[in-house]
Parts: sequence; C-alpha cells; structure tokens
Amino acid sequence: MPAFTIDVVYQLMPLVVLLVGGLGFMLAGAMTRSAGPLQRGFALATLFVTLLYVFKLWGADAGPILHGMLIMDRFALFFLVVVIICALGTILISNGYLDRFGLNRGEFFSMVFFSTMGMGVLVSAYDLISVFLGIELMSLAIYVLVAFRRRDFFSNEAALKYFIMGAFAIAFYLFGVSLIYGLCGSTNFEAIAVAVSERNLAQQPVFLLAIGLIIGAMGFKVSSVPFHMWTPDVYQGAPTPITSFMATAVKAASFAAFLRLFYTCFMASKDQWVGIIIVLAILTMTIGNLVALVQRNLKRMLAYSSIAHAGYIMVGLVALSVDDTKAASAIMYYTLVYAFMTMGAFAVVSLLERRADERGLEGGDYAGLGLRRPFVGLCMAVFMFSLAGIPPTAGFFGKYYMFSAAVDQGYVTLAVIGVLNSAVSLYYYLRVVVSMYMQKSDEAAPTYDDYATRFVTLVALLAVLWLGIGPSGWVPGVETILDWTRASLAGVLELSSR
Amino acid sequence: MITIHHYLTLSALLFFIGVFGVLYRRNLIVIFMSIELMLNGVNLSFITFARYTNTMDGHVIAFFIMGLAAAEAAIGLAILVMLFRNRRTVQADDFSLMRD
Amino acid sequence: MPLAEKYSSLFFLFALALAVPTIMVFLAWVTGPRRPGSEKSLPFECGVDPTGNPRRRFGVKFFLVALLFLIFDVETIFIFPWAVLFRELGIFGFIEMSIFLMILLLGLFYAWKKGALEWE
Repeated sequence: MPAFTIDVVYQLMPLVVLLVGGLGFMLAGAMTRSAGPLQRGFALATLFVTLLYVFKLWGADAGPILHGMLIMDRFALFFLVVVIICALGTILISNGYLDRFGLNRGEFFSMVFFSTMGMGVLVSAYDLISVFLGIELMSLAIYVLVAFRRRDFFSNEAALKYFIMGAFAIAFYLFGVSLIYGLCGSTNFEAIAVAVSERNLAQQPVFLLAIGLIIGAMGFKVSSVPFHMWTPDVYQGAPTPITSFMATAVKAASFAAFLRLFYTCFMASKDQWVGIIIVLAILTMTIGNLVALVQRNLKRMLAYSSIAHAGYIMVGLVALSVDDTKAASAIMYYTLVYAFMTMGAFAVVSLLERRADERGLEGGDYAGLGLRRPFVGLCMAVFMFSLAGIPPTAGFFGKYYMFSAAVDQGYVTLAVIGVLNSAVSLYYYLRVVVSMYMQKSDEAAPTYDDYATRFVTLVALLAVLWLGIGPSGWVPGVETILDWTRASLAGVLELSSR
Repeated sequence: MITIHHYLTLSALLFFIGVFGVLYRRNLIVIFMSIELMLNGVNLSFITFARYTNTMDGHVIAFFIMGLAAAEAAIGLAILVMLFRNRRTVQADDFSLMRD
Repeated sequence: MPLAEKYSSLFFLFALALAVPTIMVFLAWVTGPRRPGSEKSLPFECGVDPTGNPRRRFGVKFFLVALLFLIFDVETIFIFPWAVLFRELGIFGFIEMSIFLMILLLGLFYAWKKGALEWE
C-alpha cells in the first residue's frame, strides 16, 4: 500500500513550503551578495503561506501519516502556529539588526526556515525517530545561526558551547531511545504506550534509566537545571534575533515534543517518573530566579529568566493527568504567552545592542530609556510586568492556570514554591523598569531605531495585554485560546487511550 | 557463543568511553571524535535490538544516526575552522570569555 | 513478557560499563608515578632527536574538502536501501529518491557557487 497519497502531501504542505523556502534562500545566498528588502519580503510571505496551510489543516483532525512517523493533528498545528509566529518575529527583529552587524545574507533566512521546518517535524512527531530528526534539523540550523557573527569572539564561543553540549545531549537521548526500543520492540508512540501499559515496564530499572536519559536530553533542549549550563553563554553570544528565536521557538517546540511523548507514551508509569520532573521543576525555578538576581547583562538576565520560565512550564508537566486536560492546556497557553513576551523583550534588547562590544546591555545603558524612547520603554515595562506575572498581563494568567492545575492534582507545595519564585523574580524584572524610568542616564547610550522591530514590540504588547484580559471576538481572546488547546488535546488523548 | 549481552556491553562501553572523552579531553577535535564514538555505541545497540526483536525500526534509526552524525561533524568542523581562524587555538579551555 | 524481563540484567551491564572507564581513569591517576622532567616532556621518536615541529598545520583547505566529502559520502547510505528495494518501490521510490538527490545537488551547487570546490 502506498504511504504517499495526495492527502498526505496536503498534510505535509506546511513542512514542504518551509523546505522549499529554505532551499530557495540558500540559492539566493549563493547568487546574491546581500539580502535586500525583496528577499526579506519573500521570507515573510513564505511564512504567511505556511501559516495559511496550517489554518486550512486545522479543520481536519488527521491521524498518523507516513507509517506513523508524523501526525498533523491540532496539537501539532497549534504549536506550529506558535513556532511560525516566533519565526516571523525573528525575521522582523533581524531587519535592522542584520544591516547593522553586516550579516545581511540569504543564508540567514535559509537557516531560519530549515530550523522552523525541524520544529515542525518535532511538534508533529509520532515516533521517537522523528523526534530525533526534528531535534537535529532544528539544532543544526541553530548552531549555524548562533555562529552567524563570524568575526565575533562571543558568537564563536557561544556556537562552540551550544554545539558540543547539544551533540552530547542528543547522544544521551539516542541511548535512552535504544533502551526503550529494546524493551518495547518499536519506536512508535502508540506501540510504546501499549507496551508500557501491557508489559508492566514501569517496574524495570532499565526502563527508568531510559526515561531518565530522555528527560535529561529534553531538559537540555528546554534548558532546565541541571542541564542549563549552556543557556546564559549561548543566549549572550548569539545574535539577538537568534537569541529570541532560541528562547521562544526552540523552547516551544521542545516542550511540545516533551508533552506529547510523556502524555502519549509514558502516562501509564507516571508514578515512576513524576518525582524526577518535580525535582527538576523546583531546581529550575529556584536556581533560574536566584541567579538572575545578580545578573548585570540584560541578555544574561533574560537567559536566566527563560530558565526560570522553563521551570514554571515543568510544573504543568508534573500536573499532567489522563482524566483532566487542564495542565496540558495550561502548558500550551503559557508557551504562546511566553513566546510573545520574550520576543518583545528581545526586540527591545536588539535596539540597545551595539556593534563590536557587548557593553550596550549593562545596567547603565538602559537607564532613562523610558524617558528617551517613550514607546519602546513602555513596551519593555509591560513585558517585564508580564514576565514577572503581574495582573492584568497575560503572564499572570499563564502562571495562574499552571499553578491552579498543579493544585487540582494535589501538588500544593509545588505550586507554593512556584508562587514564591514569582515573588523573587519581581525584584530583577522591576529593577529594569525602575532603571528605565527613575535613573538618569549620564552617558546616554545610543539606541537604534528600526520600524520592523518596533512593529514586533507593538504586536507583542497588544498580544500580551489581549491574551490576558481581551474578550474573545474577531481577535481570539483567552477563552478562545483555551478552547483551542482543549480541542487539540482531545485528539492526543483519544490516540493515547486506544 | 556471542550473545546479545556481549553486543550490548560493547555498545555501552563505547558509549561511556565517549562520555569520558567529552568530559576529560581538552582538545576540541578529540571531543568531537568522542561524540562520534558515543553515537556509534548507540548505533550498535540499535542494530543489536533490531536483530533481537526482529523489527526494522532499529535499522532505520541507525541509518538516520549515521547521516546526521555526518552532518553534525560537518557543522562541528566548520565551527572549529572558524574558531581557529579567529583565535589560533583548538583547546577547549581557551574559550571562556563569558562567565558569571 | 519474558522479553522485558531478560533486560533487567542489562542495568548491571550499564553499571559495569560506567565503572570500567572510571576505574581506568582512576587507576592511571593513582598508580602512575608523576616525576616530570625536561627529558620526559620531550616527544619520543625512537631515540632520534626530534627535528622540526611535529604539529605541522594542515591547510584549512583540506578541512573544507573533508567536510564536503564527509557529507556527500555518507548520504549515499540512504541510496543503498533504495537500490536494494528498487523494483518493489517502483516509480514512487524513484520520485522520492530524485527529490532527495535534487536537494543534495542544490547543496553541491551552493558549495560550488561559494567557491568551496576551488583549490586556489
């Protein structure tokens, strides 16, 4: 029976468009010296076409395709939309940045496309092999993007660290997969789920070892403590649009795979692995927030903040349950909200970053920003409030849904630790706001202006406010988003309970 | 008589020798080689399990691991060449500009 | 299932595998005498005095060629299974492999355009 029908091709169209876009920009990189406005326009247009195909697929909740390698269900499509939004943001932020740092090459867009395609594979993976392929395709392109400032020592070093740690982590993932494969005789999610519940694998020490290895590798990708060592260095050294891409899209896609893998395959043995995730979540929240307190460099501070947020999302993983989709839908909502607020914050950072030296991001350099650049300052302040979880921003509601899901499942202590951590995080987020509005800038550091970057901050600002308090109407509000997440999870649960 | 355990022991040994290589060696080229060693150790265990359980998944993933290991090595070497051009060294300890 | 139970002993194998390199590193560290001297840090070349710097640098060009070779060489492993099943896969397999090779050719074209294939 042919696995490839027109219907399958149709379902793969988002990935195909991204692939063709990536190849096209590779050729453009070979043929032209620099990427002009035309190429940037094409990059945005290609992403919009992908988005269009995703929306067309939303109606049909499809089953596994390609012999159970991929599944383009609503769960995958939801995260695909998040990832594409992040890619759009990255390309818009990079508009002025590429010119300023002399990185204006077609290859940049090519790598963003390949990476987005890898994320597409990752979020729709229905087999441990396709999870591996997705992670690799995503990461290989990101390694190149991190190293994109070829003459810059920081960028070089960041790429090296990310590469070595990434390759190391993927080897551990594969080792875990080989053990799972040996135990279950298959790498397909459904077959694994059946094997786990029927053969009572949860009692096997090897099975736990395998899950531990997979959690380690996934924890690396979402930068959870103790696998977070690379995060601050790589976030600091990478070009800022790419830092934004890593903090939002890579994290969202990795959490999608993490969530589906554990929701579909390992739910039957939850008692065995939930302890590991609880410890990781507590460590990740606490260490991320505490170390962020002492950071001077804005990019490093945001890196530790992104570690802390990975911890909050892991609270949701702890609260996963088969009868209640509350935690899973909280994770999906949080990923979307987190993508917007982080993207906005990095868009502002990219306006502050100066050429040659990285000093442009130290404490004094954004002092008085709120007075010098009222709009940018206001946006940054709202993003900081949202990251800290102050109502009425979306960041507050994200945390609220996450922690209340944990309380519902009886993890009260964990939720309390999460709330305490948010309180700690207030200090370093508000410090930025205070510095922007209260401090005088002696040596007014120059900030740059770029209409595309300002557009990103505007959209992110509106999204952060609307996703918090906006009613559902023509523009989807909180209720609609939560409905979407529940609709996406229904398919996942149905498959896993088969 | 060579049993499945022999293969698996060999694969685990290869893997952990690779792990120790990554952790203890300071030359970047040797670190890359150690990562390849880890991947090959994993590959061996996939093939062993594939023979043992009589399924194809292990063969498929082994092919993909080989292909992607090559892609990874290519990017790693490219990063290395770039580092060497800028810094004239390939010792891991020399790359520590960013610290807390 | 007996299959799953057979593997429980595997856990000990992995513990063993972890232990062996640890012991190797540890033993070398404990038993090895450390008497550094100027003679000892010289490279050993069969009793002949070393001439010249053994760490002669290879041109970066070699790396570039090695990189390209590595990628295009290893990608052929995807062609082997296709070749074995050529008849059974028929036209469908042929089209798919053509797409795969086209993508590889695009990569080659890129390398060519970038001047990676020129020696001088």
